[in-house]
Amino acid sequence: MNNQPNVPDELIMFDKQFSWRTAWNVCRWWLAAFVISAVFDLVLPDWKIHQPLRWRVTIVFAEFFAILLFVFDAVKFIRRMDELQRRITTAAFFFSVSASFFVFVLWLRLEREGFFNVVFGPPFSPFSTTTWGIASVAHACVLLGGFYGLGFLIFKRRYK
Amino acid sequence: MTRMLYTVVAMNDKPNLPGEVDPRTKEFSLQAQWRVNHWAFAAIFLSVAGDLLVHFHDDANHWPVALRAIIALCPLLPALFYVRSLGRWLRGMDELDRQITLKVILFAVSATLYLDMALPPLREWGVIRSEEWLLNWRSWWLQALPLTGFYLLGTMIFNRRFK
Repeated sequence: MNNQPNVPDELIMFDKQFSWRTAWNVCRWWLAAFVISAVFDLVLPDWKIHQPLRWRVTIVFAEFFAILLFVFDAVKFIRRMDELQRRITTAAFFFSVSASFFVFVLWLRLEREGFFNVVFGPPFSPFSTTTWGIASVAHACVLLGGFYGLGFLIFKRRYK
Repeated sequence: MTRMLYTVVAMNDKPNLPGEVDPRTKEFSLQAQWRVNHWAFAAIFLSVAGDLLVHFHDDANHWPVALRAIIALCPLLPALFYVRSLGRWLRGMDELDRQITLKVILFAVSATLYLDMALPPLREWGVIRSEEWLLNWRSWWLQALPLTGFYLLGTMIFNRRFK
């Protein structure tokens, strides 16, 4: 039996303790959601639009189901930590979700006013997107991952 | 000297209670509600006022984008102040209440973010129409509804778990 508590540093890529195995065990469904959304929402949105509704529904449900599975894995990972690490990780998650939500709403509101089209011109992404919006699961995954890393560094320093 | 050491300052030592802002509980107090949430109310008011201003001006589409961006960003500052007052309220709680409330807030924000991500495909399928000017899902103030709903739901779930 493995009685060692989980260490959150194993998920931080530029940390010495980073472990591919732990990262895979915790984040595989997050990665799956990101890949599905990146392929169908960013790379092939035109292809997706022309598919029958049941296929589009299946793709969206696959993304959201993968996120739910990731939440279960993350909760399991956090529960096996010691008290201090659990506090730091929960605070980092809290920071990550709140900051992503804030950026998400702010971005959508500015997009609604046509701010990005005026400042940056029409979208010039190679992935044929017709909007500056960041309302896909892939965008949310990137925001959540980035803010989690930042939050973890902040709260780890605070608890030292 | 003794008098300096034992200066008595009128101080409120009572910890904050999560039920103070929940209208379903006995502890609910309008004063506490206002103390914690007044910046949220200000953000909602500014957001609705901005939407009304843009909607009821026929030439709003011709306004400079900077002006429209400023109107759109008006609720940002009160929202940030709200986060600060929420943090202060949480710090005034005892250990157990703070843990429960933090989990409830984490649940509410995550669920709202999850819902927001689900809205573009729903719009694509015609389930919701984003053209509704006041009920536009990209409005600031509309985010308060799922946040409050999920907060109340989260309170029920986590209070039962910690009982």
